[in-house]
Amino acid sequence: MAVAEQRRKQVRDRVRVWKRQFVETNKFPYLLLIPLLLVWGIFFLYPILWAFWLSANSYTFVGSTFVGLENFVTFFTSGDLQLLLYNTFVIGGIAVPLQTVLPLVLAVLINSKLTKQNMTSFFQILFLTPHVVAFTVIAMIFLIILQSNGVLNLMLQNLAGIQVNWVNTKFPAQVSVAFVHSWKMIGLFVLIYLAGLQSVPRSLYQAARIDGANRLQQFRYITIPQMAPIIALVMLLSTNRVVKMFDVPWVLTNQGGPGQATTTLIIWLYREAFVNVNLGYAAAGGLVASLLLGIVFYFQMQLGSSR
Amino acid sequence: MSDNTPTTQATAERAEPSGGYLRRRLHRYNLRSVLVTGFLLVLSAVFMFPLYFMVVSSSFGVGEFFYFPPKLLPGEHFIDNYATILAESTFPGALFNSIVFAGVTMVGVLVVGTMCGYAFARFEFPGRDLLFYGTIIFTLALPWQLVTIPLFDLLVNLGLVNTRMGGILPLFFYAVPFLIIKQNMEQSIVREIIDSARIDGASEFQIFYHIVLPLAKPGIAAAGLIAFIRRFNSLYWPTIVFQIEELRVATQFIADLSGGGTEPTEWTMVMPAATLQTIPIIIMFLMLRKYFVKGLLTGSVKG
Repeated sequence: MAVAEQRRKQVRDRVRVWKRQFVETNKFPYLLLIPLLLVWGIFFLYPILWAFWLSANSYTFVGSTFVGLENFVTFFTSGDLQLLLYNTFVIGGIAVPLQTVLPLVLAVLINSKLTKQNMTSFFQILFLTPHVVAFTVIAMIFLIILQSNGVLNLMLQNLAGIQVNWVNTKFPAQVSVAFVHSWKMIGLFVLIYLAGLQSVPRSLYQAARIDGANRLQQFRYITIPQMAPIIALVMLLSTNRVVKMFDVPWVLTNQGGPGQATTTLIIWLYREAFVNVNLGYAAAGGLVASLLLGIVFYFQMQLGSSR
Repeated sequence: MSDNTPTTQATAERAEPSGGYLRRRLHRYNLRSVLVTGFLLVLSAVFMFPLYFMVVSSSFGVGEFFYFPPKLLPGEHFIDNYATILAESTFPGALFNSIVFAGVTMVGVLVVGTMCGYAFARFEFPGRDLLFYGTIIFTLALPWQLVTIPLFDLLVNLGLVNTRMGGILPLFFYAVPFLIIKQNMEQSIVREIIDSARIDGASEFQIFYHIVLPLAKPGIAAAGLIAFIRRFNSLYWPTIVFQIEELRVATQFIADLSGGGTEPTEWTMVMPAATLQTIPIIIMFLMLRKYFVKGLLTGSVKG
């Protein structure tokens, strides 16, 4: 009896010592994480869980009714999903290739020995400058250039005799939004490409030159294959940003107009939640979109960590 | 496409051009090099035109925005326009609100970020990876705008809508700068320094304050700069939480000036306001570009 008792006490002591050691060694990192867990729990985790609850309810600040999957069914059948997909595909179809290809060409030119050495960082800074300007400001500047009696149309009219309603007709508005968004993003992608180009081994180019490859061939057969993961990464980053676009169509094309031609996902979310006060429906749409964005992000992470 | 000089120089020397002085000179400087640099310069000029036009047109009178050929030199209403925006509008207050909004957010983000960054970068503890992926990586995958819907509901319930606190507190959670700080600490803080300080009897807090923070300065600067600029330029969240005149930030002020299709936009106010909002940010970027580039590269490639 006494032996059993003693052994149990021994075990208890050992557990107590182990516990104390555990607390002693891990106390500090856990303490450091308290602020993060507080802000994350209150301002991220709780709202996300709340979003799931909202999506199953018809909710307008004052009251709620449980509607099950109705919000999701409406989102899929009312044409909203189709509208958002269509707009995103048209705007993204212009913006993403533009933001992927043009910065690559620019980065290669800037990085090449053909550019004078002292100019490299000058160009890098220059192309990055628009990236620190607010989208709101950018959209406003372009609005004055693109509107029906703006500088661009005056030039087109006087030089070519045509006029395009850049912000008030459907397709031109989508094109404008794609270009204005790209104007800010190009500098960031030039920067990422320039960093990537540093890791392409010089010896490959030397070998190619000995074999008699010209610059275009070097670009085609060395730069592009070597940069493939970074090109894909930029494409995904660009897609991510285009899908989450808000400020440009909000300001440039008058809150997602004309009609709903430039209504992006985020503008739709804002309108449903805060203008139509249809929080449940907005949450349902947002959750569906998050799923799609999550897939894009998954591939982005795979590429980002493979570097 | 790196062009190595030996080959080109050799070609250049071999084919010594006849022809005039200018042509010989160009050849010596490598014609293709001049062409590429020239092409990039022209493109940069086109690229910079909107910003140039913003600054120049802030001194235009009412009709001068729509001249043909376009007016490209400063107008005569510089003083008028800036006096109006600074003395007769709510813009100075809005700009002040922007600075408070972005500044306080940045400080909060840096406090939370340096603490969690150090924990994730230099400690092994049970649940570390789970916590890191759960709080940082997972949140990067979701569009934050979805979170704002229930978040707004939460703020309504707490009575924090249309208050500075309600607008700023939720933004203390901002995964991208946290990630920047963490990655920088992984590179710049060597375990041996921490271990030797421990042996010398420094407390964990002393190590954090006197050794880790000074060493992590570049990462903190990069993260702070990114956080400040992104928040200073943001429109979506302020539009939701700052719905009253006294709290409106500069981007809201500028966006609200577009007449919404029904009223004509007051361009003589838009351009000075846009210039005043943008120039300080550009100066800040030019002075601290090293940190900004560092932050952008970590922050966007990894998330």
